[in-house]
Amino acid sequence: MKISSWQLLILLFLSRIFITITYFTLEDISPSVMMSTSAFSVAADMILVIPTIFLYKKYPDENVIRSAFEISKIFGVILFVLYFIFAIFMIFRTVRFFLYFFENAFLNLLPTIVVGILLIAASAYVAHLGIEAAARSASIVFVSFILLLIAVVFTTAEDFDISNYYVEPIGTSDIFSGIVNGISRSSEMVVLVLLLPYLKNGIGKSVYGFLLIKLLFVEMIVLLCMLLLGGYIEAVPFPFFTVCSFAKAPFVERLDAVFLVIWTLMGVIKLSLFTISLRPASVLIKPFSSKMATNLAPFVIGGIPALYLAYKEQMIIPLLDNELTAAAIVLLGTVIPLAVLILRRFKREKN
Amino acid sequence: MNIDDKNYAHTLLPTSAEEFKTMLKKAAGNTMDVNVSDIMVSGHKCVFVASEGMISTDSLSELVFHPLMQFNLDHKASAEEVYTFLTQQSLMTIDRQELSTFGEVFMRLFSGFAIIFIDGKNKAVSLGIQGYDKRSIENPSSDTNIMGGQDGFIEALRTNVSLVRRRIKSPLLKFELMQVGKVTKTDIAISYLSDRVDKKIVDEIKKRLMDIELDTVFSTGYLKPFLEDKHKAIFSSISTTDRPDAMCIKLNEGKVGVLIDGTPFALILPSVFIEEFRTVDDYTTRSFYTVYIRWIKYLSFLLAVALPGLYVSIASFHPGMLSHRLLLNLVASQESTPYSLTTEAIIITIMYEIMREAGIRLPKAVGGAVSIVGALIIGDAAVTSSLISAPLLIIIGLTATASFVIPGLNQQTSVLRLAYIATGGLFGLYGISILTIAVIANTCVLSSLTVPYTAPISPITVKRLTNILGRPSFLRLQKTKGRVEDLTGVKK
Repeated sequence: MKISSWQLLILLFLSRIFITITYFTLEDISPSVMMSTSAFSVAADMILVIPTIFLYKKYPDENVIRSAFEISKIFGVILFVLYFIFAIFMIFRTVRFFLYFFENAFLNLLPTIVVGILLIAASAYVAHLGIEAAARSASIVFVSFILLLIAVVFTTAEDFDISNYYVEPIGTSDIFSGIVNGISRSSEMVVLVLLLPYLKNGIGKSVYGFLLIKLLFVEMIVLLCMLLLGGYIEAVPFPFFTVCSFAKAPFVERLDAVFLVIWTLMGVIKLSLFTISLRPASVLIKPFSSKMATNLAPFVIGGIPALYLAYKEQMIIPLLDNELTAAAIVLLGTVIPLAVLILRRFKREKN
Repeated sequence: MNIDDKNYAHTLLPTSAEEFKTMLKKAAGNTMDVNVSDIMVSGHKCVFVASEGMISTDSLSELVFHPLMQFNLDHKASAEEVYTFLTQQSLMTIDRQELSTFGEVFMRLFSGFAIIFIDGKNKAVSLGIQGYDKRSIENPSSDTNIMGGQDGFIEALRTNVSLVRRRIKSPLLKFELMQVGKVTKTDIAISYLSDRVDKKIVDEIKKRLMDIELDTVFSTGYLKPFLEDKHKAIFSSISTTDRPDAMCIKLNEGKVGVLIDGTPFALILPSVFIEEFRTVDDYTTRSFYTVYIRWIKYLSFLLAVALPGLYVSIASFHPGMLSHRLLLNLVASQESTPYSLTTEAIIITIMYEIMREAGIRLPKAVGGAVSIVGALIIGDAAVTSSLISAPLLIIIGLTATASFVIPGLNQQTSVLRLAYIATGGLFGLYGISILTIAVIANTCVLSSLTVPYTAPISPITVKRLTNILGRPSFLRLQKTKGRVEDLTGVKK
């Protein structure tokens, strides 16, 4: 089962934009700085992704873990464990943030545990159906997201206040922290490394297309929020959600519930992707060789602690630290593919 | 020779007429509908076998008995002479075949052929003089159109074949006959246009049909599970039609039609989701009107599936989405009813399904009465007595009407509607979202013989999108082929 470059692009895009529309001002960066540093962050991504592209061009039917198995079985198992832990960590993080958002944006709408269980069940189901189902579903979700964005822009256009837009001067530290922030939200760079065997062709088109579209949409969403919310943008925890609450369509008084629908669809796609990406490698590891085990294990291990924390109303912020996440993403998304590439070449020359 | 109704299929025909009759009776078990009689052809003994009610008596006398009586040699004819006359010299029926096993004899006999066995020759000859009673060609029952052809398939396979052939007078149109069902030996005709079909698809269909080990095959539903790629999907990747013109349109797109003897419906595969929204009338009306109606159908599908669920979830969990005036009206109408909105919606939906099912199963003359009882008496009484609220009744009524617009998806819309009401009522729009992504993924994973069921939307095929968003004119259609291969991305 293979997916096209366009489908991969959409999967990566939804995975990334889900973060932006949920909570882009949870950090200490102002929207203006975020807009200015996004381009630097994308430029950094473009460099960081080069080893992955080379790895695909050299071994198009293998992902990084399978390649590692070709070098040494122990190396392969170690990498599988690393990526597996990362997937669990990201599932944990995504579920916890999802529930955090849900608790705060939709007060007392539903019990948190119920929300979490439904989210995990739907994600496990999509993951069980496989990459084709996720990729084709993602295309439909992508169109829904674009329609929502168009609806929000059109229904709020008369309230745009150009004076809300400002450009803040940025320094080297801003650029650096912007890049770190950007990378810490780019878990899809690691997913990409694992998804390579599913791709039919056109990795460059997928990856660079994704990075450019990501830049465009992040800038657009931040600008939209700036123009509408002005100074309030730093006071509200979920700016895009607030903008949707502000939007009023002819038949619908508020678009926030519509946002909830699209946002949930994107969340399910994002979560399922972590598990699906492990599948090509997990067949090599005995306890995970059954499809059921690969699909359920990450959700059980990553999802249940997130549900427990949500139930206890705790966030455990240190584990969600940006620098730590960014370091993990650089390690798994760049350093390891590069190391595998070098080691395989070295081994081939030796043979 | 030992022969019975289990081992007859490969048993060779004997040489003696008496032995043939004995073996035939043993294998058939003295069934009353097999008529066996001795006849003399130019002094040579033959056995005539036919199945009662399956042959045309006019054809029998004109095409079989009359030529046989004309065959008068000046000496007693030998077995070889009779055989040569029957198979080569006479102008009897066009459809005649030499038979050498009892399996072939019974196959032809119960398909309406007359069988002549010649004493002294271990072969029989079958003559096609079928004349069983069949329904006349009538308007299609399930896929009604205004400007398209008004003839529909019937239960007789060969008539259905002729209805298709009449519309495509080209040797490119092929019909391949095969039998399915270990007991029923149901005739199945696989049809396709040889210049545009993917041969791999035809081979795969034939393989899947040949692998079927069912005892009986009486309708399209028996074959569908064996031809579908994914069995646990909500939607079916095989469409059905009872219209020969609709089938011809699909064949022209490179699809394969499967006609089954005994059912007035043909299977079309591969099939994609969006085709459920197309009718033959789309190509007889003006483009702008077709586009308009198509979008009405898309909207109807969404309304039929999700409207009650959305109403329940918005009114119960997200009232802020509604305007104050609308909200006040809803609250006022809801205040007087004893049940929750979700319970009410489920009750009315189930009531509607009961009435719909009763309307379908009852004789047509009585069926209309059900809708009168349902709509006028029960519906009106339920609102007047404040058992249910009027807005909800309007919503369910609108939903039911919308579901009639896409009859091909009726099974799915009925079940999904109830599921949406339940999840919307329990979990609000969040539940609707979760159910939606599950339904989308379940539909997206479906493929029909290498063609994704959700094509050309996802995966996207830009040049085929014009036929979804609108309808290209015939001036454009004559330039574009519009074949199945466009949906798979694989070029011939």
